[in-house]
Formats: sequence, C-alpha cells, structure tokens
Amino acid sequence: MLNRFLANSWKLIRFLIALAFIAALLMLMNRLPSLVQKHGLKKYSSFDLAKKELNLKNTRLPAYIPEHLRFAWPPSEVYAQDAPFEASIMHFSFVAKKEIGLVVRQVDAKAPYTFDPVMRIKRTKEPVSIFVRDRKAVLFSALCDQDIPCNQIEWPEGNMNITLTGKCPAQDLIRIAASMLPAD
Amino acid sequence: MTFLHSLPGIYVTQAIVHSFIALVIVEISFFVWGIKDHLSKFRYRILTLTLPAFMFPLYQFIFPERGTWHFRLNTALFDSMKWIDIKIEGIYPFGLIFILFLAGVTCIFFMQEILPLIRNRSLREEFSEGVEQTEADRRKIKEIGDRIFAGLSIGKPSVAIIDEEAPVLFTRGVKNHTVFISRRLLDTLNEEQLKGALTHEAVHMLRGSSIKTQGIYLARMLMFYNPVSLVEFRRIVHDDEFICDAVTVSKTGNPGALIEALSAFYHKPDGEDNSARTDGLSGMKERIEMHSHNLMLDERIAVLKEMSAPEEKPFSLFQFSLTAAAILSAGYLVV
Repeated sequence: MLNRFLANSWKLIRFLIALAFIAALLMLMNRLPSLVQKHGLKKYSSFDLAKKELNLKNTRLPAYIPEHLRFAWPPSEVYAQDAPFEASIMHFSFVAKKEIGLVVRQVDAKAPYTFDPVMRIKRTKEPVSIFVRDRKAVLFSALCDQDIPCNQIEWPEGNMNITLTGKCPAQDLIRIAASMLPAD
Repeated sequence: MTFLHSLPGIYVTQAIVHSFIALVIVEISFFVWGIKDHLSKFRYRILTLTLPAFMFPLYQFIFPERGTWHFRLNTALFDSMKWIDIKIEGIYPFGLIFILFLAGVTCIFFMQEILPLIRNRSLREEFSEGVEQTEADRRKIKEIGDRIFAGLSIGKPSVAIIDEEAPVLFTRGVKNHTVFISRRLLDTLNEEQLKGALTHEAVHMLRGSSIKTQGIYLARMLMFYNPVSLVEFRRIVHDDEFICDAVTVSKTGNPGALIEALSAFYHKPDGEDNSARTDGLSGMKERIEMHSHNLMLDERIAVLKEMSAPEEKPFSLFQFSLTAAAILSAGYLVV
C-alpha cells in the first residue's frame, strides 16, 4: 500500500517537473524574439528611459494635467516600442490609488493593428467631432471599468494616431489633449 | 499580417500553439503515468484533438482581459505575436512563413481528407449498387454471422458481398449496419479467419466507431489548418483499430486467425490487387499510402502477437483530469 502510494507520488512529481520544464521552455522561447528585434513592446520604468532606448521621434507628452483630477505624475506605467512600428502607452494612476485614471496611447497611423486600452470601455453616446488645436478629433463619452463615467478623444497627429482615455470630465480631457507636445 | 492580428487569425494561431502544447503534455502523460494501452491513449488523444478547438473562445468568454496586449506582455508565458511581429528589412519573415505553413497544411487536408472522401463515396455507392450473392455465399455468411453477432448486444447487421479483387471489408451505418466484404476475402479467408475479421467489424459496431469517427472527423475538419490535428486524427483512428483488435481476440480467443486475416489486407506493389498507378506524383502518393497502410498492418500484427499476456491497467480518471487541467492551464498562459 505504502509502496503504491510512493510510486504514485513519484509519478506525480515527475509530471509536475515535466510541466515546469515546459513552462521554462515557453518562457525562454518568449524571450528569443527580443534578441532578434530589440525594440519590441516593453515596459519601461520611465518615459525618459524609453526615449533613451528607442527611436520615439513622433511620440508626445501631455504638458498640462489639471491638478484637481489628482492624476499622479510621472506615469505609473510606460510601455513603448519602435519596431515593428512606433507606439507608446502611458498609464497615469490617481494619487494615493493604484487605479488607472488616464491612458495616453500613441500608435503609428500605418500600423497593421492597435493596442486596446487596459480600461474596458462601453460607449454610451454618439461620438462628437471637436478640434484639438487645429486637428479634427473625435470625442465620445463612455463607461469605463466598474461603470465609472469616462471620456475618450482620438485624433491624428503627424504620423501618429493619439488616443486619450480618462476618468474625468470631457473639458479636462480636451485640455490635456491640447497640451500634448513633442517629447524633445 | 493584419489577418494574424484579427480575431480569426489569433484563433488560428493560438489553436495551433495550444495543439502543440497539448500534444507534448499528452505524450509526457503517456511516459510518466506508464500508459501503454490503446483505449487510454485514444481517450488522451481526444484531448489533443478537441480542447485546442475550444480553448480560445472559452478563455475569451470567461477572461476577456486575456486577449489584451497588457496580459500578453505581463502575464503570458509565451506570446506567439512576438514571433509573428518580428520585422526584418521591411518584411515579417516569421509571419509569412507561418501563413505559408497554414496554406500548406490546408492543402494537405484537402488532398488527404476531402478528395479521398469524395472518391470513396462514389466507390462505396458503386459497391452498394453492385452486390451479388450466390446461395453458397448466403449460407456461409449466415452461419458465421449468426454465431458472431448473436453473442453481441447489437442488432444483426446485413452482410453484402462485393465483386472486388482487392481485399475490402468495411461497415456502413450508425444504427442499421451493413458489413461489406469483397468476394476475394470471402474466397481466401478460412472460417476462423473470417470469423476474426467479422468479429472485428462487429466490435466496431459495438463501440459505435462510426459515430465516434464522425465526431472526431468533425473536430479534424474544424482544425483543417492544424498540423497536430492532422497527425492526431490518424493516430486516434489507428488506436480505435487496436482497441477493436484487442476486444476481438478477447471474444474469439484466437489471435492467430485475426493475424492471418489481417495479412490478407497487405497491399503488394506488384501484386494482382494493385490497381493503383505507381508512376509520377500521383503514383508516389499512392506508394506512400500503400507503405503507410502496410506499416499499420505490421504494427497491428506485432501487437496481436504480443497479446498473450496483456498488462491491463485500470483507467485513472485522476491522471486524465490532471492532464486535461495541465493543458487548459498552459493554454491560458500561452497567447
């Protein structure tokens, strides 16, 4: 009886070791593309670091974020790539909260695909055409995670498409959008 | 590359990657748990064939966040898109190779599964029309059939003899079965061999092989682009033959007769039964199929020869569930 239990336990351990080996192999294979294409999508500790490592010539930064919105600066998460195309995603959390309040997404206009925002968005109203500086933009109101009201603005800027999604009033989001300046 | 980033493209990519992982995990299970019997192997291989077809939609439904780039980057063990997105000198070499690979496998599927289906259908229709039975045939079939089918809990099938020089034996029907047997087999096999061959067909009916094969074939059709399902489908069908052989021997108690009956099914390249063309590309395909058919018979005969002291292990639902859970968990983390 004991022998049988030990034999079965050993089989189970061998099975788990084999699974761990598969997991390690998959993780290794997941790292290989970054050796071939060094500038693929990656998480950076700051935008400056991303800027230093990548060729982000078209990426912009918000120069103004209304203080009353309580979004923390610098962005809590920065993801960027310049291959196969230029793209960056910045997450701004609320001060003293981990919850993301603002997402700034910039993707090459010719990119074959885009990056959906981490905040799940349900559109509630028809989109409205507005101007961000002299650029034609689309603004729509929506419900984000946990049905919190939010707004989204999209507009083309040079070679990039910029999307701002924020859990804040539309007027504030338009102000942030208008303040987007080249990062240099 | 846009297709591979669309929902159908992501489904196809993940289904293939999930199939490879399922295949590896199932093979590891065979090794670790010491699974050697074909009935258990049949059940495990069904996991490889079916789970990857449903895993992606299931995960999308239960965990929609799994589909986001954020999950791919921060949680996934392996992100297939990282390979597909590798861009060198303005082209996506891995993405292109993958698309060509999909196209190749799809072509093989049509050549290997669809064309023979159309060909066999017309052949089988021809068989069902050209049935001829003499009084002696009827008596022989009735005597053997009565003995074989009476002991089994299935309705007695009708037996049809076909005028065909090649050794042919197959069963049609899901509820009402008909066994088709070529005159050559009827003339060459002795009573014991014929009993073995017909019992094998009866076991297929008993196991519901027809309906099972149709279900498995449907899963294969759904994954027509998937090389793993191409291989696993064949292996499952072969496993079914091994299972039926084992049950046949347990019922007749005469493995020798079944071995001799199986030997009659060998395709001989220069034999009189060889109506296939052997020149050119089509001939090469025929030769490969013939060789594969003969290898399969070799294996079945080898298994039957060693069947004197079968090592029967009970099927462990715990081990099976653990394997299924491992496939599902690994699949969740592989996008």
